[in-house]
Amino acid sequence: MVTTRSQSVSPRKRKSAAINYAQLANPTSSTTTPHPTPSPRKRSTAVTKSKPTPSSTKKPPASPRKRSMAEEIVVQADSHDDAEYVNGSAIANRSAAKSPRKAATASARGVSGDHKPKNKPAHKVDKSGKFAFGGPVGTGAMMIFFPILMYYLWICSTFYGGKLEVKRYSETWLAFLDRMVAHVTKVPTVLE
Amino acid sequence: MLQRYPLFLSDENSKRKGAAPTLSAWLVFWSYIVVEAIFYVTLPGIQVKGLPLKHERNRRLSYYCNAVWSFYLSLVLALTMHFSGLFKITYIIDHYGSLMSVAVISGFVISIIVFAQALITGTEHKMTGYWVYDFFMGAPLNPRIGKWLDLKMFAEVRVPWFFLFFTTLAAAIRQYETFGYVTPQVGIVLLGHYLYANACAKGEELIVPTWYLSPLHSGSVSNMCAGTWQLKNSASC
Repeated sequence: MVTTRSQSVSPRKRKSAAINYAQLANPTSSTTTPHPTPSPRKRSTAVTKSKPTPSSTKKPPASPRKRSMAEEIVVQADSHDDAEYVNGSAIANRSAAKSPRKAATASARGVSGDHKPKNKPAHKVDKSGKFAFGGPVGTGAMMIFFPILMYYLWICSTFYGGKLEVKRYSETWLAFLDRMVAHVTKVPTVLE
Repeated sequence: MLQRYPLFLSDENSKRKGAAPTLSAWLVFWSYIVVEAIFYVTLPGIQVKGLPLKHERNRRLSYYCNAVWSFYLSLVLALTMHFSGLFKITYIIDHYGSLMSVAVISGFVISIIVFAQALITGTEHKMTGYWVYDFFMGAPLNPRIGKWLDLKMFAEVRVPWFFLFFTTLAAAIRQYETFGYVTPQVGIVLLGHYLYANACAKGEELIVPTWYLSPLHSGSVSNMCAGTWQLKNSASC
């Protein structure tokens, strides 16, 4: 894909910017633009890409026709998004076709697009609605509990002879947790 | 005053006590990482082409594979340093908790840096909008330092598998120093880890076209650096 300026710019900066389709269709006539001509300070973030001032960009300004073609390529990639870029795999398409409810929700998410602006390049966004490893909940739990599991196994192997240490009958859960945490955070004194 | 902070404690005091990320553990772990990174970019190896990247007009990245040289040179270096007394390899098994803490912290820190770097430069890939999930899966597709040091490739074999082998080797040497012999249990684990590390290193160029570095998966450095390393190590203990 052609790397345009709109791709290289960080997406956060142009979250509010929408593509002016009327202007893309007719890039030479600046009088038809519905937006008033922005002040020079705002121009760098504004939508009117067909009329770049030399001060707003470091690159030599391309001809208006070329620039509008590049913008069209990005827009086309977005329109293909649902058809071929769904999760980048055909498996997702198949499963979506099998269950119409899932497909409906997925497409609804894609259409409404409340998470991401629509004018992002297709490869940067995953709108398939398919998640691996249990989604945000599963991955979050893995990131939290895997280190804890590592420490627990290390405690068992180092301080309890490799036997899995469980809560003793006489102690509360809090005391058990305290005992476990103390093994990790134990600060050795100089006397030891 | 310094003794109140575990980071600055001496080795004798922190031996088998707690899992504080001591200064020596930081030094050992990051020296290992840096040495392996230097091996990665300097030792002789072969180049292979990765899978075509759809979003970049099917461009194929070049990967440099020399893990087998890295492995045996690391092994020779480690044994030389151990028997010359420069660095006792049994440090790994004596300070296992501290090293694990250092690995966990390093893994998270590297992951956050790589994630933020991708968002800042706008090179993120397949973001779902759920930041926990996106962080786990990783934002950049092919994070690299310089031309050849591919972070995912680096964290695939050189960090976890080599270190796992060295950990088991340290356990065997510690047993021999303590008891005068190596138990068959540790012996068989050492053999298995040697075979696995050797196979991973020799077949490094086969990682490229298969699942791990596939463009379909953003892959996560977070998993590789911290999670995998600990998982494999704890499994061996």
